[in-house]
Amino acid sequence: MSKTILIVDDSASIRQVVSITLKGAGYEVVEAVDGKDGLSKLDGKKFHLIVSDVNMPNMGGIDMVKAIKQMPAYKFTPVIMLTTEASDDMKQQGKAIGAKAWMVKPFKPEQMIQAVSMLT
Amino acid sequence: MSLDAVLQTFYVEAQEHLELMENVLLKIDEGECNDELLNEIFRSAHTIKGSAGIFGLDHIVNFTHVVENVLDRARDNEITLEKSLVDILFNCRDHIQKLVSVNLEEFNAQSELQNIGKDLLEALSPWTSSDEESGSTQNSQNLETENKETSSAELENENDNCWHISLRLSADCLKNGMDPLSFIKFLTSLGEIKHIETLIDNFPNTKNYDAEALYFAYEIALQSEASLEEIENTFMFVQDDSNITILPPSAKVDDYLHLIEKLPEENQRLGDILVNCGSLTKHSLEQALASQSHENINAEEPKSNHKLGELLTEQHKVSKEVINAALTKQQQNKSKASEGKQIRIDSNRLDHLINLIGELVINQQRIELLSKKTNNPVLIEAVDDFDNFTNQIRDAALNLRMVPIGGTFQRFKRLVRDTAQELGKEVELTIEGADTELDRLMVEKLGDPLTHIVRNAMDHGLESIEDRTAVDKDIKGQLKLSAYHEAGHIVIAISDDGNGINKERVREKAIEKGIINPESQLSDNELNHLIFHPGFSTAAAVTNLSGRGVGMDVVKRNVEALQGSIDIDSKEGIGSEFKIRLPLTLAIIDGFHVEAKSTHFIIPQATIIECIDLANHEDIKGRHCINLRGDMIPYLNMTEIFNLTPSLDVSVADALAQTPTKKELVIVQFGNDVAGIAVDKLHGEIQTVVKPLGPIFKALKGIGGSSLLGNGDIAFILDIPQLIELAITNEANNKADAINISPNEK
Repeated sequence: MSKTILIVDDSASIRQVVSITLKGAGYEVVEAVDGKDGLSKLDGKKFHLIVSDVNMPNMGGIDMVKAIKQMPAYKFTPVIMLTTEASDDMKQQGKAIGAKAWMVKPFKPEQMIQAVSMLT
Repeated sequence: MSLDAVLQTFYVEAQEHLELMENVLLKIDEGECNDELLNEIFRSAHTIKGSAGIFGLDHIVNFTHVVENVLDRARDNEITLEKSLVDILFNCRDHIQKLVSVNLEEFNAQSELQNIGKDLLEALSPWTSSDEESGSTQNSQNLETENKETSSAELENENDNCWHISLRLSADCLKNGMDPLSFIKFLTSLGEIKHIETLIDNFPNTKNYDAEALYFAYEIALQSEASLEEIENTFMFVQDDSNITILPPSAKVDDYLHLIEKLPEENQRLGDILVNCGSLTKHSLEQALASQSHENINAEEPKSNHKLGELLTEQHKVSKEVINAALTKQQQNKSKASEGKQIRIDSNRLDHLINLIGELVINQQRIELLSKKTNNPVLIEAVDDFDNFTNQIRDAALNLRMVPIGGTFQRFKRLVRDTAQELGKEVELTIEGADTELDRLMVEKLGDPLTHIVRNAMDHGLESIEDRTAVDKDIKGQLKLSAYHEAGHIVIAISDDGNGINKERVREKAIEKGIINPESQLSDNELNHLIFHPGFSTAAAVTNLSGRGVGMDVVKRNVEALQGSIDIDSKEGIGSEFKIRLPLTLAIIDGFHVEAKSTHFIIPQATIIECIDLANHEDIKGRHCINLRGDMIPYLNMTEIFNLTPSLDVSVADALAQTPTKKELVIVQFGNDVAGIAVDKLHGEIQTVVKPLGPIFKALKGIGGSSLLGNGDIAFILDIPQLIELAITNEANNKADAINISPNEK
């Protein structure tokens, strides 16, 4: 069975790029438009990885991941944060909440696949 | 889905964000400026930049990055959005729009575009800051406050610049996917860890040992110029189930004692640790511990674990108001989220659905026809029900395509603002009926004509400030955009309180341009309509905006292409009003089915006033005009207009029966004009799907489209506005002919 990845980003184009990239590498992809949507898309289903943007309306990525990490079912689900902000403290903040990797937009599809394959 | 398709998504998305930016800028320009708006506009710029980066559109990324930087600073209250900056940001937004419309190669080829970008960035430079700069200013600010604190604390505190952090993380910390080491590493980014002590007191015997649990506790001395908030943020993800105490460099010995009391470990040991950390000296610790046994300082203090937040409020580090403000903010965000329950679909899919429903409607009519032939009451009833639901499906589907006109109106705010600035006039735009819904197809095509009318109204209609003061008008010109329903149509009105149309000048100009004869007698309405004549312009000076004489005729043509009409009402010195009348939808219409010489026609239901028997009304002097209750109404005979001959398959008997045709007259109205349409047979109301005619029939006047009838026959949909115009001109010609001929007859 292929592995399922949740991608959370408010930008439809980025969602689609990530989605196409990952689908091409054989993953199942579920898309969500913001943190809230991301939480509702989890819906008790098994996800092998979450890829999330940081700056989103309604609920940002940090808050969402924080909430996800509170759920027993997703405690160990690895998270990759996507952002345009490359500052160290943002990365550290992400790591502190349990994000495994930090990708700075723009990224290359190969980088994405590499990071994803390392974590799933 | 290919990457090209995603690129399309990016363009749509960028467009939306650009619109959002414009709306926010307009609000800020009007003086409304709050965190929410700043966040919104920042996020838009941020998303455009981020997405553009994915596609390697570096020209967009590089420019937008600077704009984003400025907006970020505004968001952080480092700069304020003053008028001059807002003006530049408007231009920046427009520039981003231009950048989005070209690809990287095109951009590299267009030095003009690059220069505009450079100029804008130059203009933005007073508000931008390189990261290093902002970093250093911030640091120096922090340093200042830090120095103040330390100076007051020096006397009591031995290790003067050190924060003391006491970490008792929950045992589940590791299970939650959080590594205490990452916090400690993060602290090193804030400053230097002078000393760290790991406590292993909680370590159980091997029997009870859980390999996934965290048994360590930490006491950390951190030399840092960071603020309490920054340090506290390090632990924001674990603070809820952990016991974390952060003591500032200025903390008094009592605070440390308080801490020692609170912690579960043995007091003397903790004291030693604090001494090791350099947070206390041995001397002050001994003194304090001794005095502690005398006065029970912490007696009233509950020993329960304090949450960091509570502690902070106790220490008045975070005021209650701030927390309340944060809570209301969360509430607002929630209500916003529910508003945004929308999905986006490809408009082609929607059009496909509407097409299919059109076919469904036709088939339904066919079934209805067939069922009636059977005379089976049960079947007929069932088909009636079917009819009912088909109508509902049709309406629901059409509704999907309806969008509020507000979005289009909104865009004019910017146009009006810029145009007013350019012309040096003061204009206030009011918008009414923004939620009036219109077919998406029409909304798209309305933009250009509306733009032209609005520009014209501002350029020619509204007077300059001096002229307005001279005639005692408010210096602020009023411009109003409104939309409302009227008799099965939607009316979009653009009105101003300007000078109105100078009819004498229009007349002179029209004569000069050879559009009318000097002798012609024209009504006010006809004079007003002359401005729609190709090549007509009354403006003495051709301005940048309008006055080149192209446009108003294009406006009229565009509106007519949408089955609409345009009217002008103008009073000199008081103002003008342009009214665009449009049908509700272009796809499916309620029509009235008529027949002339075995050819089927559909008249749009909304235009029909009544049906009368032509034979009962006397024709006035062969002028194709009847007197209906005192009104002169011209009419058109479909058989003559379209040169109809009976179709070949009509039997001789039928043909004979039809010969002395009893003509029916359908009275139709469009705008203020009324005319009659003479036909042979009335069939009744029918729902019909409009199929556009091929390009060969473009030149054909009077027919707007075709439609399939339930029995498979083709019917032509009459273009009523064109026919009425034809009837009126015919009538006028006939009248003129009658006048010309009469002397000869005598």
